[in-house]
Amino acid sequence: MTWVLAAALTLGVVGLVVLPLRTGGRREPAEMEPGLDSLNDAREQIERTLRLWYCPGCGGKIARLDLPRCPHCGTALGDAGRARS
Amino acid sequence: MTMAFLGRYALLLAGIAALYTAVGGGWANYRGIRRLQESVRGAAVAVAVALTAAVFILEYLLMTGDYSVQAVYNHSDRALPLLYKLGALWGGDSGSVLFWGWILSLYTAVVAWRGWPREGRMTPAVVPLLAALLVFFTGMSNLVVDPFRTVPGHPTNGNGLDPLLQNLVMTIHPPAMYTGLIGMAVPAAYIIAAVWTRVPSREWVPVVRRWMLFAWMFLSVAIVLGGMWAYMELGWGGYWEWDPVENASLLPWLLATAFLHSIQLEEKRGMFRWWTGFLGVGSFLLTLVGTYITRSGVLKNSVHSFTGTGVGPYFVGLFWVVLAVTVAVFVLRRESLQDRMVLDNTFSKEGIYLLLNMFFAGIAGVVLFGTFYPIISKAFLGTTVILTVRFFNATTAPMFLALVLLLGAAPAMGWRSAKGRSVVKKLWKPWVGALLAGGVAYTEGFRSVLQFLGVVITVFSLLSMGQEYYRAVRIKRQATGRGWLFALWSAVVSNRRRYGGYLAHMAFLLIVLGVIGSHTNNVTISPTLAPGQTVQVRGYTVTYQGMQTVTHSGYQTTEANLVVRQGGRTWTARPGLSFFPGTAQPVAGVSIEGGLMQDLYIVLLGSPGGDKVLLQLFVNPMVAWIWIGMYVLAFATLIALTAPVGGEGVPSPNRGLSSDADARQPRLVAAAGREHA
Repeated sequence: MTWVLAAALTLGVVGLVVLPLRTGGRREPAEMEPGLDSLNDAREQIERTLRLWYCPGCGGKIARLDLPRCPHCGTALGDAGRARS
Repeated sequence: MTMAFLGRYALLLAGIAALYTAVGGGWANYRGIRRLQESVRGAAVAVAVALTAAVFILEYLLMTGDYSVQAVYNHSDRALPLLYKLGALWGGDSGSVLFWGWILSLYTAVVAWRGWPREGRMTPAVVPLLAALLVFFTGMSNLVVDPFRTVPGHPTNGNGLDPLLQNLVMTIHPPAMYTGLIGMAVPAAYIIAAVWTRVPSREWVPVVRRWMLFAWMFLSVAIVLGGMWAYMELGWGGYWEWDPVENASLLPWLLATAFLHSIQLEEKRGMFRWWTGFLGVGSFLLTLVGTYITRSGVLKNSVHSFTGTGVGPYFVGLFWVVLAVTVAVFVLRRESLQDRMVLDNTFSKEGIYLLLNMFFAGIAGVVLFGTFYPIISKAFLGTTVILTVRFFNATTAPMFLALVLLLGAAPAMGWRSAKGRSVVKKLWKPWVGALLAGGVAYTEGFRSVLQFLGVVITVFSLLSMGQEYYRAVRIKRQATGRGWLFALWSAVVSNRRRYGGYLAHMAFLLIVLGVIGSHTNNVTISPTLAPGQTVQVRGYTVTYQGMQTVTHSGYQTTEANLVVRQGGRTWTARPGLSFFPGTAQPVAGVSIEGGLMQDLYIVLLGSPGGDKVLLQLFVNPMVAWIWIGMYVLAFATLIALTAPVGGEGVPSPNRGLSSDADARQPRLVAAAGREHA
């Protein structure tokens, strides 16, 4: 019995490590852009986009991503972060 | 192959998988090998699988009573009830280290499995960091404190579990404590990884906040549960004694609480970045200090430390390694820790947060100093001096009260700069209410400066929080035209972070009131009674009827039969002393008749001869408020945890505008206008 358990444990651990080595390099089309594998992910994606384009201070629309400050209220936008987000 | 050997094999597999995750993960990130990164992700899950197997095997050995295994032999016996047999896993050192490692592996697996696709650059760097910690824990279990080590001969029974640990709360407290303490490793790893990979704060802050909040919730509950256990089990009438082990859990809690406030400054204003990062990692570092305190035996003035078990020095080593890595990363990436904004005006929300941080850090500093003072005094004065409860109370109580005051003032303060007139306008009602409450409290006996001020300031903060709820609910009610309950639900749901946070503050304030109340007007008497004799204390009439001995599975209890009357109520109380085989010191079985405003707490101290008993009766006011505060705190944190990661203050296509943005919504603005009119 314990030998069977040991074998199952070994198979499980080795499988978890080795199988992704064989399949992990493949890039699915969906992975080219941040994953949209669920409704939550989609919602997060939309929220992220909205956060990128709207000022956290006043909610005003940001015209360009490279603006260091909000043109409406002057809140600093963190240019490096915004541009990379 | 025996089950113990299988357990050892699972530990070995876990160690190898952890090493692979740490080294392979670092290499995969350095070289950008995607395939290897995916394999490392699987390996992180494999560590959790192997450690889960090890934990289950040890539990199986405990349940079936395989006393040839040392961890089972030392902390279990045949007579132990099943629940305590399961809890014996963390009753000793080897099981505790395994349990720590197991919880950390579960955290790591969740990070690797759930976080990887979402958090882009951060998670591939976080997983090897957490895996490095797993290498430490699995290494300890494999090489230093092997939980599957066998004992010579074939023992048929074990030494049993420490009687003090045979308590229902003690089966919940340690897992909650471990989940909270080791959970601090996750935000620390995220911060180090984010700073190293130059991930912008807007990406890591929401992720780290959630992980910290999760760990903080468990730690908060565990600290209060520890107090509950001490109250129920130790029989000295109190729940907190500034014991080194208690302090060890409080220290990371203080820094984590400061972090949860400081991170809002980072989020909203890009300020105090270096400090925020330090608090996040510092919380974890203090868990290692705490583990050293509890496991090394270096501080011998603790009532419940696991002294002299030998693992302490290893945790000191880990502390220095984590500190060195943190300092190196923070120095090498110092440009990403530069503040985006400066403090415009100290009379602002930022100013309040700065002060909050100072007081939290100040309390942590004092507690750390006081806890280690026996060592400091030995080194510098040549004698070991143990600081008493008076030192800790005198130094921390004023700072805690300052914190409470700031807590109440914060909702009225605006970002950047607050207007004095606006703050007064928002806070005068809570102050009036607090002064009225102070008047009532004074007549009820809260007459020392700290007690009186404590009640006034705490009630002020409670009312300030309540006022925030009231305003939100009133606006929602006017906007929606629905009832109060719906408006409350709607207000909370629309900004779970804010109102979950306010509720958590209210829970903390309830606990503060409980602490103040329990130190005011408490009574202790120690009567010796013969059968038929009666004693009266604060409205309770206690009549002693005689003694009896009850035999339980594995121990015997001597009980005093008491009839207690209060008003028109009568009940029976049976405080006792339990005698466990092999333990010279009996364990008190306290009788607690708990109420909302006061507890009657009875301890049987012994028998001076004949049928007489020596009792100790305490009337402890408002202790229940502390336990109620704990439940509310956990509930409030759960509310805050369910807030979306991206925040609720941003426009969302399917939720509409949420609380911060509510003011911009025409309908609500109209409602607010009507309200002011």
